[in-house]
Amino acid sequence: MYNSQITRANKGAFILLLDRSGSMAEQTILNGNVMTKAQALADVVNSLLTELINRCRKERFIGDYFDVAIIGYSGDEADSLLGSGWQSIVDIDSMATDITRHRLERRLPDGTAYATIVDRRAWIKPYAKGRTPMAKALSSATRLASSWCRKHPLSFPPIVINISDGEATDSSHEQIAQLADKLKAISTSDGNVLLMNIHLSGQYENEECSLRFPSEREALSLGRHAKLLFNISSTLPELYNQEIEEFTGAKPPFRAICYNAPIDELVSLLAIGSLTMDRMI
Amino acid sequence: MPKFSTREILESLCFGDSMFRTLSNVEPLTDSRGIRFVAGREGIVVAAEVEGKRVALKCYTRPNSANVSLFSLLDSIDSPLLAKPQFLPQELWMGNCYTDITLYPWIEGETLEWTMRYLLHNHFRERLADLLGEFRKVALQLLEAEWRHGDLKPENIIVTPDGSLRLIDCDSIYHPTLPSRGHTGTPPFVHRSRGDAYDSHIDDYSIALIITSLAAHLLDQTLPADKTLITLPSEGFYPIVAPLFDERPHLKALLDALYSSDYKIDQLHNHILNLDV
Repeated sequence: MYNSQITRANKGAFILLLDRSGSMAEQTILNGNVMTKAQALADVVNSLLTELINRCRKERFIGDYFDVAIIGYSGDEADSLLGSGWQSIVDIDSMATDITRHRLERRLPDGTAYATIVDRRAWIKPYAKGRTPMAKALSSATRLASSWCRKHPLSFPPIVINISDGEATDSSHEQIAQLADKLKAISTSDGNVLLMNIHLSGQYENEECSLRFPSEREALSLGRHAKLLFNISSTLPELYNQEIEEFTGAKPPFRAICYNAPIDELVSLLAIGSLTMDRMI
Repeated sequence: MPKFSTREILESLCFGDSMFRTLSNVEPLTDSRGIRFVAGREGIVVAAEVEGKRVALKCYTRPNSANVSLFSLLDSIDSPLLAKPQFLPQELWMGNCYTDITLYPWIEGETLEWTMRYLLHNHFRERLADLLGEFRKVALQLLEAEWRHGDLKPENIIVTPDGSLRLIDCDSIYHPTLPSRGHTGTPPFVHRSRGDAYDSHIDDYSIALIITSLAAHLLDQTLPADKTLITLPSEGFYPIVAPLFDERPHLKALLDALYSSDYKIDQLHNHILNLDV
């Protein structure tokens, strides 16, 4: 299980569920810059899309190795943020996007500082308003994963990454758990859908209480919401172990949840969540 | 160990010479998409000019991921097939540490993969025959040398403007003096039973795969042009391709070897030498 290589015949898939509720308007710091959580999330997700496209870059074309769906949830709705439903990485690359200009600074070991300006593509725009309809997002993910797995029965199963800073406002913990179970029950011949939950820390939360890919034993001391996210998150297959061991210093098995994670870590966490990029051939 | 994204590497290159420890006058080449590069498993290969000379810069996504003894060995191999790399340890500053770079001389041309697609799509049969002839030469040279490529696939073979072939991306090379580096190669081009075996048969399967695929397309132009590696066992074309080789025992032997349980192909050199296309 979880052995399939990602090829153009057996593509890989990601579903990102992005919390765009009002609390995402809180200030945070990403790479030393003060911004809203919504802006930071958009930046990090846009970086992930850029990375996916770059990693599929061949001599004269973008290899069609991945499908991606991005669902944003806020107010009472969960909406697709990349066209409708699934998009191939080739289609994502050819979409018209905003270009954002960034000033980068680098300091060499001898202290000399350099600056340059780079352009980055932005598919996702920041948004933060209303409540947190996470149940709707999980239901959308279930529909998307189900249709994808039917079309790609031999592929590595879809990886669903849910990024939020709060609790669902449209359902109880029990309902969220049931929806997550339904999502994780979907499979290809290579394994079940993997669900990863990244809970972002708030400005005033104690980051010492952060948890990254905890073990069953660590989960014993979790609060009610963290425990829910722990319970609904997949146990990660072996291929993730080395990266997570390097990141956390802990030993497997690892549960696909990061709780109270500072936004600065989101890039690394998504890099781990999207490790199947290394399975491209 | 930190791991860099391809974007971080490309953005480091945007700072110009200041980020390089020893190289100067580095100018990445650009096209309509920005910096020209291709991605691989270990990093990206960027088209650039260094001191006015065109090169391919392989930038690794992890620091210290290149193998120093490997590059000193590559430097000692004298073969027209190989472009000699120059290994530059700790060369590109990534903001918190340096990453290695390997500098390859630029080889003008197109990859064998792209060339096969182009020729098949345009029904250039004669040029396909030339390509098979050139690949046969390469295969014989490889089998007569004491080293093997280790990750032989159409993407790692350049068809130069004069039609001859050169091998690139030789980090997985087999040489009897090098220790095994675990599993090498790219799965569709690696026999399912090879595992971590590291020996002089490391290229057998991919050689047979490329030769039989080129030969099948040459013998039957009705085969689907989008299936360049038509003899790949997973493609399921055996019943269509095998009859083409009925009167061609050497090609048939190579085709059957792709389906055998052994990754070593018996009499490979002899079959290629006497190839019956």
